[in-house]
Amino acid sequence: MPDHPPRVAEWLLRWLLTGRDGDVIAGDLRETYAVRGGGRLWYWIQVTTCVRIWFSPYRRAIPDLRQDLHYALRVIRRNPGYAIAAILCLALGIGVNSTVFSLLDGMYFRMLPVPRAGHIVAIDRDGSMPVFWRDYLGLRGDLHAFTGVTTAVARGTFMDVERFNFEITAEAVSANYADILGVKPVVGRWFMPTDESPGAEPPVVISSGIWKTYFHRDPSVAGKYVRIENQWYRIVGVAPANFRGVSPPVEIDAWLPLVTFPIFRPQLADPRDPGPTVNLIGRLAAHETVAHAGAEMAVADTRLRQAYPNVKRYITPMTTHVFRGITSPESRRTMRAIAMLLLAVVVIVLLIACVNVANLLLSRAAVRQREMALRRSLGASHGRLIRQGLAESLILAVGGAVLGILFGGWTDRVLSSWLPASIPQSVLRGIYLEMNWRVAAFTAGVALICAVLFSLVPALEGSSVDLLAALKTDARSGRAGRSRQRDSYVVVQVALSLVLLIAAGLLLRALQRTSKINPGFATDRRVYIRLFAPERDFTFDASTRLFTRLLGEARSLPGVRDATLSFAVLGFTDGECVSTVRNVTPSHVNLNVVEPNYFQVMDLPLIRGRDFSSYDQPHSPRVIIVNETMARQRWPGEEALGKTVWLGCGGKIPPVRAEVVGVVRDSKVGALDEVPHPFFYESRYQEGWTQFFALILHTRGDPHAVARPLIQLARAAGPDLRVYDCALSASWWLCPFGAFDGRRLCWGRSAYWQSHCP
Amino acid sequence: MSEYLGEFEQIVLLAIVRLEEGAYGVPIRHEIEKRTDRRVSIGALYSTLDRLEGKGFVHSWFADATPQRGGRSKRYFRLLPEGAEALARSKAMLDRMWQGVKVKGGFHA
Repeated sequence: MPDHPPRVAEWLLRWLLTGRDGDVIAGDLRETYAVRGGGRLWYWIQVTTCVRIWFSPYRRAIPDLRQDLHYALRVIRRNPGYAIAAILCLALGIGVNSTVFSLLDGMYFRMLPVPRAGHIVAIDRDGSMPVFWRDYLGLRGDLHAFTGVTTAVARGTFMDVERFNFEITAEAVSANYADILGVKPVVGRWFMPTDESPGAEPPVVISSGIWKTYFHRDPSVAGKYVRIENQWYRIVGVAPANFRGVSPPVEIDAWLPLVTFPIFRPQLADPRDPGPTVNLIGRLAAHETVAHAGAEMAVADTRLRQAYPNVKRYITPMTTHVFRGITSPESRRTMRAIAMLLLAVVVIVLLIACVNVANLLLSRAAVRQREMALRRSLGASHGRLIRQGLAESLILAVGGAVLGILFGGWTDRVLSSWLPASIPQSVLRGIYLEMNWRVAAFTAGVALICAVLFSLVPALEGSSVDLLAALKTDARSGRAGRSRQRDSYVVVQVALSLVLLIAAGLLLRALQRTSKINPGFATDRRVYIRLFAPERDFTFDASTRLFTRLLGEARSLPGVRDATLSFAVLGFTDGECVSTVRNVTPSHVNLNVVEPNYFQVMDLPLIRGRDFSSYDQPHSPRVIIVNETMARQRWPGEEALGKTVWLGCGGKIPPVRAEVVGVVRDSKVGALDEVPHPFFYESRYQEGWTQFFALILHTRGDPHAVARPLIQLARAAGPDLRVYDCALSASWWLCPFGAFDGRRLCWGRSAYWQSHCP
Repeated sequence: MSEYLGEFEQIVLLAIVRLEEGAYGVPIRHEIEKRTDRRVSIGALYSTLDRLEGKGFVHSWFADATPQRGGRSKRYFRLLPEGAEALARSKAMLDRMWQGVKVKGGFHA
């Protein structure tokens, strides 16, 4: 009589049924086999009937998982120190990965946070705005595949809330905007058709962010007034916090009816003007498909092309697609490279975290060598011990994932603070963790991969112990193999860290190079504060007197060598129409309006001619100073000094004659990486339109030392003088010139400002 | 509608009840074969036990290994209140069906 059941049959059984369930059945069969006194055929028949168990829907896929998890939890509870270290390490790695994936999700997949978002479609022409306002009004009634089509145009502007003046992005929309999208306000209401009627009081819906920052979540905010583009708007509602408008990646701060927006008023008042170009967003009617809606739009597009054959915008055909992610291909292109770079960096961070945890687990495996040997000697298989190790790692990874998501808001900021200032604002603002099933699935997947990655080798190591040696010897006596394993982990870790270090070094070098780009004017020991004297509170004379007084007071501040006033700062300027011959169509040229000592204070060399002087007064002949590029381009091969230009864009105001009295060296205007543009300067005593100045100080020592007196000086001028908002982190109203390489350096100073803010 | 048990499910549950503390694979199978005089394959038994556990009628746990079993664990089973209810319901259903029924040969309930 054979004393052992057929080995092949037993192997087949273990192959069919893994884990403890297979063990139990093999044990049952072995017990019966012994009682029966053999029976190889019987054994084979029994094993084949187990196929039934394999096919059973009730079969436990991972039979010992519950027990493994339970045991792993007990082990972790007994040694919380290593578990906490591992979870924190993984939380950082998984958290930043989820956040960057969330950015990618926002770029490609995320739909609008509105009911039945899959029915919202965007209509565009290769990412650009598809129609003029006039044509939207014409076609909106003829579309039957949609419950409605609405419009939106995002524009940057400024908002006045009491004494704060700050930059916002507003969406100018049609009145049916919220009805089509199905977005409900948290306070008040959205727009009604009557809001578009002539004579109606202009309404505005503000974002939850503005509501929180400037109105402290006041539930009675509806009815209060804010000023946008010199027009008073009555707040009628507050948008929900998760609704950021329909212009991603731009976040919208306020919504207003397009017909009330002063920026568009001249266009809308002119019957020959087709109005501004607008984005179209529609909601599909019930049982309609995107394809059908697209076909309908194509017909409407053909009609438009026939009606306006000369409109270049209408040459590119309209496309209709589900509103998903960032609709503009250009924005996607800008963001993709940076997002991919970010993803590569955070994957390396995650790998380093995994290697760290693997090292930690390997040390634990050394300590638990006796435990493993004991369990092996009691009959636990290799696979069983590996599964046990995986269960422990899984718990650590899940803990890390949960913590990573909980700290999502924090990792957003960590990531943003790592990023150089040259990264577009759209990317920076897109970096936030927004949970949805895709991000959750990604996080779960990453956690699982982590668990397998960092646990497999230590688990294999722990399971392949030399029983006799391990049981006999001290638990702490390591083996050469394990030491090699840990060495290889250290090598991997150092290699990955090196990659990160090199990347960070390159990034720093790039930043350093940026900081070494000569903007053309002095930045060392210069500091500025941006001030705005609104027209409604200050007459021209009053604001001129105020700025003159502030300039005098600033010069007498301790530690200040000199002070000046400038309308433009790097990245902020305006333009004027300039022609060299009267009655010839002028072209647009950027300009700066300055205090006469501007060139000396900023060390901007005057190459030829003279500086502005105290004789250049409102009623004396108008003079301008041009930069080298303008002199070269406007008067090639000639001397620019003494030449006449005509300033003004036409219309009712006749062009003003001005004489070029000086030529200064080129300097950066819009960005540090720009090529030189034509640019000219006017004296603030001759150019009366600007009431917006940066008060620039040249200090003897550390410019930060004068920050507090400078703020006090500005505040002492009264509440009507607007100092750039102090609550928004994006404000860089007080910014050492030397910090052009990193806007973040200026952002960092907002804390300083807040501590001095009333 | 509450679920009724199949015949083999009832038999397995009753075997577990009869064995009380000693209900694991080998005695359950032996009990059924002894009382019903029919062969039970191990595949049929465990697929039924897994189903009964999946439905929440029984609870199982792993226990000691013995040398006769080649050092392998036993999986013990215990009837849960939901299982007892299902058993009672199935019996009552059968009783109601049998009530007043006479079949050929004079057998009646």
